[in-house]
Amino acid sequence: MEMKSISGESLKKLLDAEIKSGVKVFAPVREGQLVNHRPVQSSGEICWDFKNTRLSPKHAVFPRSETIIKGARTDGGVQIEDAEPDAGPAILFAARPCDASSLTALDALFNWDYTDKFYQARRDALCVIGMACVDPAEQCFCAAVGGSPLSEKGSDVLLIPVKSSGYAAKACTDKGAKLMEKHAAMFGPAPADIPSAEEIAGKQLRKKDLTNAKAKLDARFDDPIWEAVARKCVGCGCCAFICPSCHCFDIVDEPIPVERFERKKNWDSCCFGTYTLHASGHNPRPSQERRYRNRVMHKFSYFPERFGILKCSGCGRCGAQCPVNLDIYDVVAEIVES
Amino acid sequence: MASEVEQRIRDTARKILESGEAGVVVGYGAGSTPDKVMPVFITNPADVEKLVWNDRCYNNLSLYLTKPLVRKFGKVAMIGKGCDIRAAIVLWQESQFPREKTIVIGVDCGGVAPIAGKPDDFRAKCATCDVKRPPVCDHLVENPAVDVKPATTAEAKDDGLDSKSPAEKRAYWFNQFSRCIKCYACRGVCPLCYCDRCIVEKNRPQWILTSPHDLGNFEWNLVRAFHLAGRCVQCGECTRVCPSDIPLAALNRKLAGVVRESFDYEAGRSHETEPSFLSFKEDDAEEFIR
Ligand code: SF4
Ligand code: SF4
Ligand code: SF4
Ligand code: SF4
Ligand code: SF4
Repeated sequence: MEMKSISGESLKKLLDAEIKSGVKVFAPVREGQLVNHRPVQSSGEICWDFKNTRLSPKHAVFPRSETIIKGARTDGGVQIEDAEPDAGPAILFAARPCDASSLTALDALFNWDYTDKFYQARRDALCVIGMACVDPAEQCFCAAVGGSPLSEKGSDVLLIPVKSSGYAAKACTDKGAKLMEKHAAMFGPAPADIPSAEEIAGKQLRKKDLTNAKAKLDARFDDPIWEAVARKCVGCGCCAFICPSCHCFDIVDEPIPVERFERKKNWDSCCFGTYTLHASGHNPRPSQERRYRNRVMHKFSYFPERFGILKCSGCGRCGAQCPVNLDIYDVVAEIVES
Repeated sequence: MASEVEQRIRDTARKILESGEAGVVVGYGAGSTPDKVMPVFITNPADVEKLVWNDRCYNNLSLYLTKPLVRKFGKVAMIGKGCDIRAAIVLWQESQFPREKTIVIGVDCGGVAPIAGKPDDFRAKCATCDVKRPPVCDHLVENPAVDVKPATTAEAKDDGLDSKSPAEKRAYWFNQFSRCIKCYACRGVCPLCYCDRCIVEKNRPQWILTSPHDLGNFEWNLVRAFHLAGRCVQCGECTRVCPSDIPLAALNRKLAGVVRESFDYEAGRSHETEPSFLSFKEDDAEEFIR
């Protein structure tokens, strides 16, 4: 589709018009030192100066906790009703290319053998405005996993900041084209100084090719390397919860005063000791190296085997924010190079 | 080029491994990006060159004294700053790892560096630090560049919370906890959160709601703070690693203050002092405990 341009001012007007018409706009907002996506009431709340958000924006389609069933005790027994997803038209604004492309992994998973209506209702109603990275962070390695700071994968519209001023804008899907048509008057002809992929890739330092790690990983499933790698892992949920493509959840029933309950779907992580703990007390992944191994294998072997996509988009969050700096890029690179 | 201190650390580690004084040295190594440092486990004397020392050695490595994948080496040598070693002392006192199997390599520490993009409260400890030279160690690595005199400010900077009304405090903490995603990184990185089964994992009955909503987050963060009262050494690690920048240090500081005022006790000061939570007196003033 044709490349256009939009000024910063027009972009704000576009977002404000959408908000006014009842669209929920998730945009990066600064709170203290944190920048995260959250619904905004006006474009004035948006933080424009960020490398990437602390948490991934996956919560726009996969919130950290949601109610899937409600129930109450009645005279004769228990009454149970399905909860409905609270999904309405929404825009995810300024998703980085790694985070936008991760949505394709979530799409595959939540529509695998069964369509998760909570995920899909939000996803169908979501228009993703991607924001290309002209100044990637030190931790980023999208290029190592088949992505790029200019990738349009997962975006409906891709914006690329240009030096002259404003953004180059490209519709990547019909959904995106419709949004741009609706606001056609705000867009101008393509700017002349769109940065090239090569130019930006030159700024990225972590580019070892990790796209074909599967065979090497599979061959070393029983290798002592996992213990050496994961000895420092503290078994928290930080990596999975901040990751744009981790999708695991736990189902719990919660009492609600009085005589009611709600069934919740909450984020979960395979690095927790309880993740595979059976009711019998048996745990098929009894130690941390096996749990961490699953994290790597799921992303670089099992998921690509089943869906043909890597389940890591190279955002670099997990390595940078892991309490002990256990960095998946280094782990996979070491095995690929071995 | 290794600094003088790094060289001393490496020499010490080499001697410890060569003589069999310990089976593993837990220390700091270069991280995945230039701004980072990570825990490393050295078992081969030839690998001591991997050890580094700088003001980004944040991790409290006493954490690993309770980890099966580290304990398997037998005696464990750990590199530590004064605050880290205070946590090791608590672990010894709580019978989580024997003093005799711990070889402490203490290093003079002039304070850790700020982290770009993170609030600074995780290193509030450094402003009031009186353990710049570790009080307990088997091998001391001196750093001539560090003035090891205790900090002149004994009191932590007033965080303004004490003067708030109960309603204001409640609003403040609900707002802070609203960002909690229940990743449990705070628990994972805390040397004193060593329980095999954390209270949040006990579900018969479910004491603490596991959902990361307002009530669940309030329950979780308060129960963790209470479980650390009189035990937390304020190393600040939980605060540093929280991906949502929740000022957990303020909670810990508050409870440590209450314990200090009520029992004249500070955790991890000395192996010999009886911890307030481990002491029992038949003539205790409180009836419920007798
Ligand atoms: S890899 Fe890091 S973030 Fe992930 S579970 Fe282990 S310690 Fe936590
Ligand atoms: S595995 Fe790590 S680097 Fe890859 S997408 Fe997830 S958080 Fe980002
Ligand atoms: S890596 Fe672990 S937490 Fe993430 S999706 Fe896979 S199994 Fe789930
Ligand atoms: S609660 Fe936090 S500050 Fe206290 S010992 Fe644990 S990690 Fe350190
Ligand atoms: S580290 Fe922060 S977000 Fe994670 S569970 Fe602890 S308080 Fe919550």
